[in-house]
Amino acid sequence: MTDPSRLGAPVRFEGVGKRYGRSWAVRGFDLEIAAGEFVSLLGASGSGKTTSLMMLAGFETPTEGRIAVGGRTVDAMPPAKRDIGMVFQSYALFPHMTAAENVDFPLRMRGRPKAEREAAVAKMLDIVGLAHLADRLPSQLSGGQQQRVALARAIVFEPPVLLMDEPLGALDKHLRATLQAEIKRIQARLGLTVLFVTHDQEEALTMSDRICVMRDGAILQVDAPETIYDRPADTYVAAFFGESNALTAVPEGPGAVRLGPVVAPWPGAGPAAGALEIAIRPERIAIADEDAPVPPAHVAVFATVRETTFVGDRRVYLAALDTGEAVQVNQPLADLSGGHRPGERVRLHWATTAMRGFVDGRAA
Amino acid sequence: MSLAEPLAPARLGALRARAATPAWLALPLIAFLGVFYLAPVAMMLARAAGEGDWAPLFAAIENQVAQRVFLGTLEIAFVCTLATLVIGYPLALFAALAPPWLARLAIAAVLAPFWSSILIRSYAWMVLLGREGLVNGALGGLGLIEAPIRMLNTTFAVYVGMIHIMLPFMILPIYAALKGIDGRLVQAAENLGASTASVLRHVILPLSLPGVAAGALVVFVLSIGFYVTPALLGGPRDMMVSMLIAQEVDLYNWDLASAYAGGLLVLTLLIVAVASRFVDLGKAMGGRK
Ligand SMILES: Nc1ncnc2c1ncn2[C@@H]1O[C@H](COP(=O)(O)OP(=O)(O)OP(=O)(O)O)[C@@H](O)[C@H]1O
Ligand SMILES: [Mg+2]
Repeated sequence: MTDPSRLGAPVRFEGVGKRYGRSWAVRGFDLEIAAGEFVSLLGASGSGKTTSLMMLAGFETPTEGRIAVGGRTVDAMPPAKRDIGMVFQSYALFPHMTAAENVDFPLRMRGRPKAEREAAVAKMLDIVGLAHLADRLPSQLSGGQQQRVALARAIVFEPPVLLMDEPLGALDKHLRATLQAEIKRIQARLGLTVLFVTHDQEEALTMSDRICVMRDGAILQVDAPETIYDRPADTYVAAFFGESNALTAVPEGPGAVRLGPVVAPWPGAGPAAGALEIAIRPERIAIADEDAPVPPAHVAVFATVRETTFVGDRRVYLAALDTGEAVQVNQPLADLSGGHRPGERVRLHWATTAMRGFVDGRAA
Repeated sequence: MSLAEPLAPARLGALRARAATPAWLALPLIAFLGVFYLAPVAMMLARAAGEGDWAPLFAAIENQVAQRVFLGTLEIAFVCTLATLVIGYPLALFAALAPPWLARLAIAAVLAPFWSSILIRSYAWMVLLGREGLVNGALGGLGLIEAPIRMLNTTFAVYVGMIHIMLPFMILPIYAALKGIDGRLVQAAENLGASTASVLRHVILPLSLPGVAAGALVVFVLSIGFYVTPALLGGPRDMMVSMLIAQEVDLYNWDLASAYAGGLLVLTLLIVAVASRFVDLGKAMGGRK
């Protein structure tokens, strides 16, 4: 925080847990967020995302653990003193104030001079595309417009830490993309630390510096988007981001596994005995004629095409291996020629480096 | 941008709902009111008009005593409204913020007086405030006063009795409005940097105003027509319009009594009309849009 133009403050969760009655909504939550970093919380409904944000904002008291902002423990600090911007999942706009008055509220509470406030509110409403609706009450705005007012209100006072609980959930695709870019721009310009909750894996992948995947109140994996996608820590994370094929393999001596009829080299140690689950992304599998040559360092298997679907920029094939296992293949389309028909015998092949192995659900 | 205009569908829905509401469901009530309320009121107003020469009405308007009584009545109603608001709002706020068991206790205490009639409660105040009453007894016993203070049959007694009786009518609508405020708005305000005082002033107070308006209207309208309590507790100078009417009825001055009653009715309707310009009465009384 030495550079005054960079507002962001680091945030640190240390062994944080929250218990409601006898069940834990969040448990063993350890997360360190650097100043100016954009971290997304991703997880199924009820996985503890909102609860984590509420503890950071000060509306829930952790049952155990410690939370620090800017190096200072905030556990005893009331919410109003924390200077953390928040976009609530339910928007929580003041129904008796216009859009402009809602956005003005945090500035007024900070006693900023009137002229400065008016300029800031006008600029912020312009950024979220609501300048023409400044004098409407929340009840006279659509869901998406309300969401944008909530966003403007949370950002206008340039808080060092900004929490957003599915801030773009109610927007159509186009507006969503516009505001995603806008949030990233504001965040980068001010250097804000952002903790962003979303259900949308693509949104998390495109916006985040790091993604924190949660399940049942626990953190499964925190990593950069590429790592999360390419090296998921377990099958749950693998399934959460994009599509994935799961094939069963058994160890075949050191450095090799057997996938049905073929033996593939296996770089990892692998289990001493028992089955190994191999995950392969559909876009990493190539589909070719039965007699086509196989590139070096590729694993190849025969299969029969069951279904083919045209999805614009790619073709999606469902094929059955001779073992009976179903495999999805996404074939990117440079042009529309070629293609394989249902019933056709084909050869599927992929680089050995495209395979990820899991034992009991954890990365092997 | 393909954002739908938010108002249109809601309006249509409301219209359809209104069109489908069966009006005949109100017939029994209309019949009852027609026979037992509208007809007598019409007869009374006709009396006040005095067979077309408007003489009783002019007499009533020119009567200086009546003028003083009308003004005095308005003053008492106004003071009662203000006093119940000042006393009642904090209590409603306390009950709305308290944990459930304490809130239930507070509301039960507010409602308890409804178990006895206004007459009995007014007599109770007579016992309390009289020369030999409990209050004088206690003050004398403590050596704070030498001779009993005259409290009964004073304006003070009227205020004490009426404020006591009117308090629940002020507290309940305010409590309902406060309970209806979304707790997340309070959280949002705190998150945006509002102190407790600012949350009260900028969020809780404005959102409870419909309840305040409803309570104030009910108390004011009930107060200007009040009879029992001022009659029992007040002195000769504390005459209210209702007592004036009763007095004329006792003297068989039906025309004058009708004129006063008509005046009171018009005054009340006027107040309701003015109030309804400022608040959505249906909503404030617990209905939903
Ligand atoms: N006040 C509460 N009392 C009891 N249990 C609660 C409370 N708030 C949350 N929970 C529970 O804690 C768990 C986590 O809830 P949380 O709201 O954090 O989920 P979430 O990840 O935000 O879900 P969503 O994506 O649906 O918003 C859930 O099982 C929920 O039922
Ligand atoms: Mg949530």
